[in-house]
Parts: sequence; C-alpha cells; structure tokens
Amino acid sequence: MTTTPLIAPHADLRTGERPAPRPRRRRRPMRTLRKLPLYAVVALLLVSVLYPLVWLVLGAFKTQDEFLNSPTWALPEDFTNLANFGDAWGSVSQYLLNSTLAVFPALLVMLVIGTAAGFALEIMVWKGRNTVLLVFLVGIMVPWQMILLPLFTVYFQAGLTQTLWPLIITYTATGLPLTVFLMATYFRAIPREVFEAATLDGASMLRSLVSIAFPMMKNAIFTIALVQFFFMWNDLLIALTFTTRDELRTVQAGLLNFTGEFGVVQYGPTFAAICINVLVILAIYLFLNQRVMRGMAAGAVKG
Amino acid sequence: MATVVYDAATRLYPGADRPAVDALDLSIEDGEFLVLVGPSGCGKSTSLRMLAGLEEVDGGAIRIGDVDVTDVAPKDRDIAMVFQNYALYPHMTVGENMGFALKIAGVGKEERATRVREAARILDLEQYLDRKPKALSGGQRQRVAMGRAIVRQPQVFLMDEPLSNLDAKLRVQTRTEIASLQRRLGVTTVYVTHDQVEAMTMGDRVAVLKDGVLQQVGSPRELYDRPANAFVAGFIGSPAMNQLELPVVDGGVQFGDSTLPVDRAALALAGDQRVLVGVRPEDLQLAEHGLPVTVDVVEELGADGFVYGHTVIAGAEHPVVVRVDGRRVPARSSTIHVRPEPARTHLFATTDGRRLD
Repeated sequence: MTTTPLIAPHADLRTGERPAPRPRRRRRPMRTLRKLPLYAVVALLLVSVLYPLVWLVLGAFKTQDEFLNSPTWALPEDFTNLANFGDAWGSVSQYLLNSTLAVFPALLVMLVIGTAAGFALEIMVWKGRNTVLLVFLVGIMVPWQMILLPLFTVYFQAGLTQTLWPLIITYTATGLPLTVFLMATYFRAIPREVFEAATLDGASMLRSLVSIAFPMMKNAIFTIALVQFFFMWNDLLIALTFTTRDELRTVQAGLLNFTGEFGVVQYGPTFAAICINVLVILAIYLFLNQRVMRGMAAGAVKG
Repeated sequence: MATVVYDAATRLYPGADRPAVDALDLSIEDGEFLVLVGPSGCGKSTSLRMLAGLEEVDGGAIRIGDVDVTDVAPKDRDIAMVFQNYALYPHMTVGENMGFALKIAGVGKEERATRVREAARILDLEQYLDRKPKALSGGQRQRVAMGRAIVRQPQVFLMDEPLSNLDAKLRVQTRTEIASLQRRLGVTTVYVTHDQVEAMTMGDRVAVLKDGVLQQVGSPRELYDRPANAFVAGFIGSPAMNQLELPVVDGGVQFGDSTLPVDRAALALAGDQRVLVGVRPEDLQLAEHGLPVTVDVVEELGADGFVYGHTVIAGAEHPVVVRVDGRRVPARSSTIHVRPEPARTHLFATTDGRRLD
C-alpha cells in the first residue's frame, strides 16, 4: 500500500515552505578533499573485487590465439564469439547435473533431519537431550578431512564408489551437526507455549512438526539452506576423493580437470565454464536470498 | 461442562527440594469461575498446567467430571487453554488459528467454518478472520486466543494470566468481557492471575496460594472479611491491610494509648504475649486518642484520601495506611491518632500467622 504524504518530507511544517538552502558551495571542495582517502579506499576495494570477475568474463570471449598472441590486458576482438561457451557447455552441463543431483538431495535430507532433530532437542522434553545436543556439537569439531580415507574404504566395500551416493551421504553427514545446532537455537527462540497450544489442540508430535514447526521455521530453514548450499556446491575435496570417473564429477572437480582436457590448456572454454558456474550460483543465491531477507516470522506472541 | 477436583495433587520438579505444588486439595463446581491467585512462584501456573496435562502430577490425582485425568494426554482431557502470550500460530490466519483444533479433530469443513464464525461473532472478530496475528493489536490477539478456546466447546477453560500483556485500560474492559462471557457460556473456568483486583472482581471463588500451599478458598467477600491467615489478609485488598504486632494487656490489646478490646478465647489461642492485629485502611478512624501515626505521604483520590505514615512500636517503625475523607486530609509530617473499629479487626498469631478470632 502506498500513501501520499500531505506535506513534502523536508518542508517546514509551520510555513509549509521548504527551508532556504544553506550556503554550502564554498565548503564543498573542502569536504570532497577530506573524503578523498575514503573514496580511494572504496575504489581500490571495488576494483580488487570486481576486476577478477571482469577479467573472467572478458577471457570467456577470447580465442586461444588471442590468449597466446595478444597482450594480457587486451580486450577480446569479438564480443559475439560464443564458441567458448558452446565448447564449455558440452562437459559443464554434465558436471552441473552431477552437482545438482548430489547437492540438492543432500540439502533436502539434511534440512528435514536437521529440523526434526532441532525440534526433538529443544521442544520435546526427554532425559539426556542436552547430552545429545552436545554430541552434535562435537560433530562440528570433527575435521572431516581426516575421515575421508576411512569413508572411502567404507563406500568402496559397500559398492557405492561408481555412483553419486558417497557425495550425497557425506554432504548430508558433514552438514548435519551445524544444521542441528542452528535449528535448536532457532527453536529456542520460539515460545514453548505455541507448541503447548498445539498439543492442547490435539496435535501429535509429528503434526506439530509438520503443521507448526516447519512453517514457523521457514526463514531459518532457507537461511541454513543458503549457507550449506555454498559449502556443498563449492566443495572440492570430498568430490575429488569420491568421484572416480569423469561422468560423475561435480562442477568444482570438473573445472579442475577442464584445463587438461585437450592436452593443452584451453583458456577460453575454461573461463566460459567458470562463468557458467558463477551464473548458476548467482541465480540460486538470488532466489534463496529473497526468502532469507523476508525476516523471521513475527506476531506469534505479543509484539 | 464438568467439575474439577484436585485431590492432594503434588508437583515436584526434578532437582527441587520442595514441591512447586504441595498436596493441593481443591474442588471446583460445574460452571464455576475459580481464580487461582498468589505472588509469583507460588505454584498457581503449575497447578493450572497440571490440570492441562502440561506438567506431570507426582502425587495425588486430578479429576475432571468423574474421570481421573491424572495420566490422560492433554488432548483427551477436553479442555482449552488461553496462554499469557496468547501462543497464536503466526503463519495461520485468525480463522485457521481458531479452527486448528477442529481440523485436527476431523470436524468437517463446513461445520468448522460455522463454529469459527460463531465464535468470531461472539468476540467481535468477524472482520479479522483472514488476517494473520501480526496484523492485529494486542487486544485483538487476546480475543483470538479466547476464540481458539471457545470454538472447541470444551468442558473446562484454563486461563493463564490472559490479561497481563494488555494496557491498563484494556485490561479493565477485557476483565469484564471475560467474566460476562464465562457466565453466558457457563463453562467451568480456572483462571490464574497475580493481580488480586482481577481475582476479586472476576471469580465466583478465589483460591490463594503461597509457596505451593493452598492458603484459603472462598468467595471474594469471605477472603476480604475473614482472611484465614496473615498472608491472605495482606495479599487481598489494596492498599494492603495494616498488620501490627501488639502486646496483650489486661482486657485486650494495647493500641497506642488505648486498649483495643478483644475476645478472651482468641487471646488464649495466641499462647503468646503478643498478637498480630490486622486492620484495613478503611477501618481505621481518626480520633483524639489511639495509635499515633506520623504522616509521610497523602494520596488524594478525590472522594477518598490515603494517608501513608508510620508508627513506632517497641522502638521499631511500622508503616500504617489510613483511609480518610478526601476533603479533609491531614498535613504531611503531622501526627494523627487512629482507632480501629473493634468489630472489624483481625487477630493473627505472631508465630504462624493463623487467624485467632
């Protein structure tokens, strides 16, 4: 709903007129000068963040010849040259599919189990729940790099190494402790009475979880999903350890091997492939972030 | 509709050295409005939550109607509760909030809508049915919480300080609304509050608790006129009753420079040379002789005035409050003499505060 202000926001309320502009012209150069170091620092930061990205995009349009023979800082000769993207897409599409197939099921399972565990640990009353929460906390402290090799043996013996299952299972397991811990914290912020009211209304524990907890925790779930998504999507070590064939590689593991694909380093397609990856992540971020920014649910209790 | 009986119901929290509710014996009539009142930490909310099934009962039993519900799940007790913070579901509309219990109970969509609309009509919430709780004011949220209870047509209403989040004016208004609604619906109601004014104005009967122990149950008038002990005497009534420890003399109790005649039998019960005399501020009258009181503050309320002063008994200062005519109030720092109306004094033992007369 929009409202039109009756009086311009800066108008003087007594006279209904705008206040006379102060004579600022003489002071302006001084102020600009004083702020110059600040502007310089901001500009430097912007360049250092943006330039690699610009360089990445520019590189994606360059041919192999330009990379080898033109000066490093030269602009691409032809901005309509999408051949690199075409080359890259051939294999990146498979990697993207693998990443999607590994990350999203893991994310889903992790969030469902994490929310349920947070609910059980904070809302349900049972002996030893604090100890269990502590055990989950210990899980956060385990350096998962250390358990990769034993895990590989387990997956190998279970015959899972030729599939994406090792990735799904490992991502779920490594993401779970932090998810449970965060969910428990979010649940703590919800007044117990809401769930007690549900109990008195006749809701079973499962019903409370599905009808009350999940909708109320929607924003928390999206926040955790966003954090964990980047961790999983950008993972290299786990993907590299557990994928044995090129058809199973995720984006990150795939990009690492991209350079060597044609015997020589193919800069153009590599840059294009990285561009595609960045764009996909950006799109997912924008989607999830919208939900995160909506803020936590309000109005359950007296506001 | 049903009776509610607490039969020596006890709740001992794990790790606590004394029970939060200690052998509570209380019987609530069908359709009665009973108020549980007491200072914070007295066990009133715990008693209510025991009845709701949200707290375990460690000893004794609780019965609703003829059914022993001590070990019955909350949802099977046929009760509805209004929480202090309303505990509305923020993601549901007002209508969905009110109909949630019916939905779970498997009530058909049309009947559900009819019952929700009926409750909304009673509570004047019809135009808000499609809103979310966050778009409502505090008073409206409170009514939604009431509506959620009404819709279920339960045997017993439980209310846990439902007015304490409202501002003073709305609280007074809602107080009357709840009381009249309860009388109209005729549903047995247990209401918890720490506010003795609420207790006195709303309840058919009031139960006063302290440290998990029931002190007295009775009509507001009984509690005011014949408090069972010094605690109830001090808790009920505003400003609080004056309680002075006075020496027993021949023919009564030494009250300043006069003697207050009291029943011999009562004095014999005291078994001590001192008794606790309780006099309400309105039962003290200005006089030529009596207890000297130095005036500290005078509160003028128009028709009445309250004199807050102190008196010295056996070398120690004791506060005294006197109600006076609002148009003839004594000056600050002056000394006045007060005498009680003998028929309106209360005698308590100094040892355990029990009533003697």
